[in-house]
Amino acid sequence: MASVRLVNISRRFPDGSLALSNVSLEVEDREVVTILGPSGCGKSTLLRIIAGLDHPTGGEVWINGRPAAGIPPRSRDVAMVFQSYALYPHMNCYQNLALNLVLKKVPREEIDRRVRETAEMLEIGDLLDKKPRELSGGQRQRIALGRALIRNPQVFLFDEPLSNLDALLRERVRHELKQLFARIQATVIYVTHDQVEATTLADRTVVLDRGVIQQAGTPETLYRMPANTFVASFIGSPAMNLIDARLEAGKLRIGERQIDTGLDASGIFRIGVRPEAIRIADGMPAKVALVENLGARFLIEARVDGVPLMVLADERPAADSLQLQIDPKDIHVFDKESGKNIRSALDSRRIHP
Amino acid sequence: MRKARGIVRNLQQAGWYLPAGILLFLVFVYPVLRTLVLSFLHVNLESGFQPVFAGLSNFGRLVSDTRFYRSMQATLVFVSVSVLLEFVLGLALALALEQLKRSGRFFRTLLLIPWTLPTAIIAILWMWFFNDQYGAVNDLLLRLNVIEAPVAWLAQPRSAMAAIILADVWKAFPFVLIVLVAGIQAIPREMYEALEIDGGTYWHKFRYVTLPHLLPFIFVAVIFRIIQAFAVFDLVFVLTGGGPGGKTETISVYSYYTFLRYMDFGYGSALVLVLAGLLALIGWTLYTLLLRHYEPGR
Repeated sequence: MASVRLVNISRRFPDGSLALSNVSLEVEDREVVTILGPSGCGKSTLLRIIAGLDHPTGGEVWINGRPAAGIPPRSRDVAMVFQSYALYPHMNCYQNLALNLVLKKVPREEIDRRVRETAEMLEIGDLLDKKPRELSGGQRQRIALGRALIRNPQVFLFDEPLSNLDALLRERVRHELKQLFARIQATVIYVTHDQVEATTLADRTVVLDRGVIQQAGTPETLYRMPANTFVASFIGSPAMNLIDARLEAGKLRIGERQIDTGLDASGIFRIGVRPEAIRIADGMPAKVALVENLGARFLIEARVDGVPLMVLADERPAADSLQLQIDPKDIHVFDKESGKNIRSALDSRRIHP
Repeated sequence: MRKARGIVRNLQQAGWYLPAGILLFLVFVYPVLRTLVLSFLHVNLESGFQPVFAGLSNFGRLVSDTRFYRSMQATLVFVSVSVLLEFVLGLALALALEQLKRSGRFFRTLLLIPWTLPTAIIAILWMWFFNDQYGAVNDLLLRLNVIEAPVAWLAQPRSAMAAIILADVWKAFPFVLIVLVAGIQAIPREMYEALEIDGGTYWHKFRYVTLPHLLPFIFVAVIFRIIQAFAVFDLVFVLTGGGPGGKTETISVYSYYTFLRYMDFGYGSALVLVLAGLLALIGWTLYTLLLRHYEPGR
């Protein structure tokens, strides 16, 4: 296994668009890092650059302490699982798994042993004689996974491997992947647009938007201390409430109401509060505009003097109106222009503790 | 009442099919049936063009007709060599064009031009190329000192056949090319990337990705070319007329002569039917092979 280091990676496409801008990232040995972002954020390009399928227009890739520039994909000792699985349609699953070893001229007996081993690990032994088109989506996904595993590479690269599965299957495979990562102790870089995948699988998650790293950290850090409004709205479901509101000497105004944040700040800010951080208890009176049943819980669209706030509640509200309570420590404060989270900066100069 | 309305609707629907149906009947069904009937009759100068029932004697005559065998041999040589060359050239250029990105599209269009021209015109063009006195081929070879005296290319069996094949390849390989280019473009890029990461070289990419993906396209292109090449007429008729000494006379040229020079409609029909049967057999064989290769559980 190995580490991957990206230093100021930039990628400008021939049409002039900038896919990646100064991306620096260090992936430790045996670390599972997920790269999360909306489509077109550059996450797949980043993965392809690590694999050697694409080349940065600036910056350096280091794999296991060695610069990767000029090293072709086949010599980088990385394995990649594609969103479309990219299985060879005319070969059966055995041949699909074995091809890499065949190309490397590994002896026949060893190929056979490793195919059987991999098949056993993924429980695909009964599929080996079948061709990809005879398999279901989930089975194809396993073969694609097996094709990467059999190589025992330095680094595993995953490009949205679960996107083509239906919701139920995705959850199951995600769970199995998590177990697999723990078992094989591999260095994994996993690209996804699904925040649940990104946070459940990862030791560390990197949020990418428009080719720029917005924040990198453990899933807990991203959830508790989002660096900016993009991360705040991308991580967490249902999404964080983001409203423009005025702070007057630390007092947050929502409609006609006030919450004393104790922060030394005045002016208009973008305020963020997670729906699950708002409690239904004596406090600000609000009207119920809409209730969505999520199964275990209820998502309530409440209005405080016309200001909409999404609230996650355990029970369906009994009446058309309710009272909401927000703990000042759960309030995120973002700069209105840059979108940066300035809560911690404000915390360091509080008026009163 | 409801039933009557249903009948009216059915009649209406039938009405929409009528124009196409009449056309198909006149240009397809009727000629086929007429040919079938004719093949069992003697209709020729001898019979004074009065139909006389012939039974299977037209087909019997085929069996001992050396000219039929010779024309069949010429046809097979023409079909196999020209379709093989068209396939090789089409595939090679399709792969080459794929390597060029922007300019590939330009060359593709340029290469397609011969395919769009009428065969008769192409035949006249090549006839002049190969003309012994004024032809460009002789002129070029004389200047290069490859030959010492002008050669009558179309008057010698081997060179005449080669000339016909050359003209056909020139006209028809763009068809193979364009079908294969379409096939290559339909291959997902990820397949190549997966192989690249797996350690595949350029040859491996062709062997494990391009060729397997292209097979159905190759089959389609080759079947079309075989069928068209079997029926080759205008090229041979204009370039050599089947000569010298009938050495380039293909089965379609022979049946043309039988119909319109010897006015033997019964025997001509038998010739045409045998050709059609042969084509159906080849098409069916190739199609079954293709299905066996591609359909699961077959």
